[in-house]
Amino acid sequence: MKVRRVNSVFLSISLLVILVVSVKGSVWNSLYCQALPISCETPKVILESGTASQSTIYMNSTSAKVSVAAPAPVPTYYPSGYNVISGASVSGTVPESVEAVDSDYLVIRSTEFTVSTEFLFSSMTTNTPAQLNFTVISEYDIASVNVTIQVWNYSSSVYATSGEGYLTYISTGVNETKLLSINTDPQFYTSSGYTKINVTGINSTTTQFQQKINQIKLAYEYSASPTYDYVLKVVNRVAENWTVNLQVYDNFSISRLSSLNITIHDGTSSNQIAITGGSITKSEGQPIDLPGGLGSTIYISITNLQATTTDISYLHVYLKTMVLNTSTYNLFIIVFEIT
Amino acid sequence: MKIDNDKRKMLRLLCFLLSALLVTTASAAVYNYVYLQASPIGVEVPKVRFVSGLDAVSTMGTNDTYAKITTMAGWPNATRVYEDALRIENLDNVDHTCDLMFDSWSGNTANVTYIYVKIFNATAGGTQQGSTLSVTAENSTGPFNLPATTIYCVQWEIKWNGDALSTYTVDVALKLKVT
Repeated sequence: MKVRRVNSVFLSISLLVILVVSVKGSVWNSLYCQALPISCETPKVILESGTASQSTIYMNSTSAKVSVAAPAPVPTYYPSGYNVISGASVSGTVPESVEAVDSDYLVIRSTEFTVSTEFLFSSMTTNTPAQLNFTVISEYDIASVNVTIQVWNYSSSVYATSGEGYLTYISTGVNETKLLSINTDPQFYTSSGYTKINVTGINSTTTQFQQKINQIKLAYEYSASPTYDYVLKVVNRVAENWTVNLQVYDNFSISRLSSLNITIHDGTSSNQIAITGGSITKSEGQPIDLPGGLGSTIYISITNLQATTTDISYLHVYLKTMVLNTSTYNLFIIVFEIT
Repeated sequence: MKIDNDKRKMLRLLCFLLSALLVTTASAAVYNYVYLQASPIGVEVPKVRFVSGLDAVSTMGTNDTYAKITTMAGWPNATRVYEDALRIENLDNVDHTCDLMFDSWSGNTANVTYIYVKIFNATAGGTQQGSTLSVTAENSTGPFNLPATTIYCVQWEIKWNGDALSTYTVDVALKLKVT
């Protein structure tokens, strides 16, 4: 009796489930779309090796790998000592107080009108510099101090009074960052691994004030940024016109790249990809013309390449060749390997 | 006496066969007719249709409910993108849910790296609708909403293997489910 009741309940539930499932339905229309044939064409635009760098062109010349080397990392130096030319030391030490940008300052009190401090760099590389980049971060506890920053010129044995080793500004009473970039004859501003820089503040009243130095550093470039011109050729093999541009779609370990530019040129130059301070600041360039005609060529170059550390960086880039007046294009993969 | 026995046996066999025949003949089904009518089943003007894109040549079937794209190609080891290969237009005053699905493909399919089909609401800077249909993976875009009186673009991305020859071709068939 009990078994029969269980069977009855089971059958009822089964029937209910089957009926509910069976009545579920929907109405739709199917529209068919065919693509036939989708054919494989002989490439009408191809990549060829350049004269600079090492490049690998893969099968059918529609993808490539370019290997280039960044110059040696730029060493950064901090002062190893200082001299108070005018004023009196209040607090802080060198180099500890002038290395990091923090709340630890080297503080010098002015005489009536003036405070002047000379910072000495030593034990630097003796390679001939290609560029010297000084950074001075400081503040004055009153506004409107006339500040002068000067780099010592070993050729004339005086502090620079003009040019790239000389900078003036009026303080605003807060922390301010000033950069001196010496590109012209930087070798005059170092000698046997030494250099020095003077920071002077002059006030127009007799009110005493304080010079507070937060950071002083020197980025010493001694290998000029190499130019790889050109690393690849883009060659047209038909009479059709195209537009061509580059776009980054992936990257690895680029934070060490302080600068990099990839350009396309055919007489005029178009900057397509840029890296500054370890970040991509331009990921895609403007399309430029690849004229029709067998053998018509444009060139891809690398300039302004600098790295801060030794490593391998990769930029994965598409070369986009677009058929004029359409939204049809081909994407070639180019891998830039930067050691 | 022996003949009588044989006759008797023959008669018995005959009776058995006749009985079997009768049983077979008498097997019949009993059923009732219940009538169902669908009236009328009309011909509607299609609410969703295909429209040629600007990047490829298409042949449309009657009423634009069938499309054949005839001019697409690719280069070995490079991705060919047709942003505006074909369009889907909703002629209706209400939204429709669409799903573009893989149906079949043939030819040198082993030499295709991928064929992707994507739906966008505009050619340049448009937003993709649904997922990417991979012909190689034989899947679909999944359902996406096609708003009333709106045209969407069908983008094709084709990549042949690096060793593909210029004689190679594939044929692809997709179906668009409209609800």
